[in-house]
Amino acid sequence: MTKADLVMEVAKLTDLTKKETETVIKTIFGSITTALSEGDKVELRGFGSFRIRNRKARQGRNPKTGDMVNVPAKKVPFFKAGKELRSLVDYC
Amino acid sequence: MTKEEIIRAIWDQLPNITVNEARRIYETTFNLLKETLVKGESIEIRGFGKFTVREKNRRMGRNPRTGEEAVIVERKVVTFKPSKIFRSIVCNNNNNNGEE
Repeated sequence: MTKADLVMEVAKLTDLTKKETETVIKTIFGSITTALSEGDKVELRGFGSFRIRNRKARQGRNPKTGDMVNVPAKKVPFFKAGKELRSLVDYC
Repeated sequence: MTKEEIIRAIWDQLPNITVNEARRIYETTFNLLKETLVKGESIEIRGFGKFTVREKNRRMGRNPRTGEEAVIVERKVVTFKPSKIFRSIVCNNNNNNGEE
């Protein structure tokens, strides 16, 4: 499923126009991005949480040349599925 | 940030809806996301990232507290891979804040 599919499906299920739905989808994912970029975390009950994880500096290799390179410490966005989503997905 | 703040943000963006309608739109969207993942289908949002359902094999693990060995059964998990843009926004902004 892509963003376009999501917009189409949500528009079908609500009485919003496609344009309004696009605004909604952009707002949802934009809010999450902004929150994390400000160092905040996002907790969405039933779905999951988005947090920042610290990655330590490490020695890496250039896969093409094999040269050792220093990879600096960095912060990355991390998603953890919530209990409800985890059990829904795992239930067969 | 919580669900209620995202609902507020949706309501802010659409002048013709009530907060309750914004809440319903939020629920509809997230139910759809969940249903898609339950079907095993992945979701790719350009500029944000990709949610994928991955199947994990059965393996031996350990209870970290007691050290006892235990079988971890095969299962499905949701993983998220943030897009390059999302990663660079988070990395750049937080580094700048941290060094002030």
